[in-house]
Amino acid sequence: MTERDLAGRSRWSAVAGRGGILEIWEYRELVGRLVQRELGARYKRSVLGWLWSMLNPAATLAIYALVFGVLLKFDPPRAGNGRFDNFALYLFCALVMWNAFHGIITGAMTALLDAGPLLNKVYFPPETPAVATLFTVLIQVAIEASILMLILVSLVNVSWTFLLWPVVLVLLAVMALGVGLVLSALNVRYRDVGYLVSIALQFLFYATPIIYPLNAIPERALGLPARDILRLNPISQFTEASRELLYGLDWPGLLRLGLMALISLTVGIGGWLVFKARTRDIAEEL
Amino acid sequence: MGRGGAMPQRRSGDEMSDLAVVVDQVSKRFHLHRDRPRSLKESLTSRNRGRAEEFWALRDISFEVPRGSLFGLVGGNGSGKSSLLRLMAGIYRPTSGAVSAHGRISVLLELGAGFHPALSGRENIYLNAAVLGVPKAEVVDRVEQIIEFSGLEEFIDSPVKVYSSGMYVRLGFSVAVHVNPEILLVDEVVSVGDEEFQLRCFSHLDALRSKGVTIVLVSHDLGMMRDTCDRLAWLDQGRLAAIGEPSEVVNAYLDSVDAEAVSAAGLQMQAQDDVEPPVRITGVTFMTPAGERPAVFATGDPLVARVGYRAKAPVEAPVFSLEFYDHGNLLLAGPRSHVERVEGEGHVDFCLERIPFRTGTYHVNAAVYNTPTTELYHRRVREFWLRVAGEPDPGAHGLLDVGGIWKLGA
Repeated sequence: MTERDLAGRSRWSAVAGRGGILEIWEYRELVGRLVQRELGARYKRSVLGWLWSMLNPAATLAIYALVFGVLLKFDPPRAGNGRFDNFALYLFCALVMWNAFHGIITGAMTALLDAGPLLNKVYFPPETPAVATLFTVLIQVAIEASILMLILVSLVNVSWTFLLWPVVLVLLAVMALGVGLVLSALNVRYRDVGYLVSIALQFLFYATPIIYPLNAIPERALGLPARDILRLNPISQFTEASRELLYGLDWPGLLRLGLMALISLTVGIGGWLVFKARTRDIAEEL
Repeated sequence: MGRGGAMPQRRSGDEMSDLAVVVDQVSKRFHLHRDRPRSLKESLTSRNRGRAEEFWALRDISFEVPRGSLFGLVGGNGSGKSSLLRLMAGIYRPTSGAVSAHGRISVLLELGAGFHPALSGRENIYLNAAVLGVPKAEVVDRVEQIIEFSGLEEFIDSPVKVYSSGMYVRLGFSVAVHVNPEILLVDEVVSVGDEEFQLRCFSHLDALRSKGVTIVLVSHDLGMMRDTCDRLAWLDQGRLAAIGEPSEVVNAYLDSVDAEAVSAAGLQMQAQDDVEPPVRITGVTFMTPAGERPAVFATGDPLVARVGYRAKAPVEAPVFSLEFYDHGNLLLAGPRSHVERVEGEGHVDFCLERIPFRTGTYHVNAAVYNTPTTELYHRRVREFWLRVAGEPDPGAHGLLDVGGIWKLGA
């Protein structure tokens, strides 16, 4: 914690000091502790413990693969090495991105409410809990992704495009954090936001090509250009890119990467600024 | 980032370094929401949306806390003490005015602030320190010290959800004072622990102060505040009613609620100091039946309150009275003596088999007056303080420990 005097404040401290946009850096220690707390407290008193962080996504994946791959017989494209096609893996490549998006947004919202009693007793930047959640989710997603990549490698479906994947994940995380921060600040005042978001996320899940390939959607449906509308969904950019990089061993090209970076930074920084402006008196509201 | 409406004053660096906290014309307004609309629908449909009732918790407060001093805040419930402490800690922003603090702040507002119930005491030490903005390296060096001070060695690796409230306080206090703060803000929490721990807390606060740490303390315990603080501020309904020398501020505070108590005692306040009264109270001493004079008595102990007097001529049938007040200036007991006659110097003893007062500091007034006319000879107000700590049943409620036993009926 640093000086809080207002008189002799430098330009840097206006940014990194109390209430400043970058003050989170001063609190990186707390971010680390909160991540440890979340990870440490998560599987206490459970016999399987950390295995749950594998079993949960595995179960989801199995259900989707069964319903959409086996029963509904969605046809996955051939993998990048041209030697196999597998719906579960094709699905997993997009699902892992979605899990990150979903986890960060819902996590940010609960993190701020949970931190309420604490924010009322001691000062720290109110975005700290959300940032900690971001890292917690990223750790979880990194574990899922490593398993996915291991399987792909064992099937000799591997390329330098794997290296680009973390970049896309970070871009998605920045975007999700921006959205999550704004929603979490709104949720403090109106608890309906939480309910609305869970419905919106369900809708968004099906509006994103995750359990189906984009080309399974007709060009036109209900008199609308359905496929193009789905393609415009910003999340689609990231899930499609993830599939291309890991499953198709292709890369999205500079233009689309640039577009993703633009979306990500605009939403991320914009959301952060809105959050900062809205939470200056958060201790009184919680 | 301006944190308030008014422009902060500019000060030279030298002037700054002597002051730990500067509170400059600070006001704080809260919006009271009667049944505040929590959902979107209510907010969109309610007619007078946005116009909540306003409440000024603090009005135009200005003072400075010199570096290395022990500064006390007293005042009744709802007087704004805790809000002011939160403003100093930066948890709240002032509505107008400015608060500036120079140095690393450690704050202890409530018991176990920032503990996670599922984590162990040790893990919580690290978490709590991080919340207070302390680098990990510093905590690693001190963690054993913190555990030792808290006296929780046995339980430190158990989850804190099994801790009692006393244990929470011990750990919370221990962390707050060991993270090398330059400014320590402590709300009414120290009074929760047991007697032995309280004494340890106060001696530790003393040690910190001598090391140059600035301490701001909020407490109801007027006697303790009077004895330990360098400066005291009294808040009355959000305004600064008095600030300065502790005993003067405590007296001013008690004066404001004293008028009723005096009239309740049925005494005429006519005794004047410039006229030597027929009988004068020379002092009150608290002791055990054996004549020892401990600084602190325990609830349930026997007590002898020795009231010394001096009568220049024989006085017939004087009445000696003692009044025991609690920190809120509530008259708890007012025993009266009936003595046949006093002359010269001597003392009367008020003997109590067991002290009924629970933990706290009580101020005791002594008076001597004439029976039939209730003419007051002499009265000494708020000069004598009785400290009580250590109760047989700390979980009991109320002001008094009345003793008694429970019996199970058939």
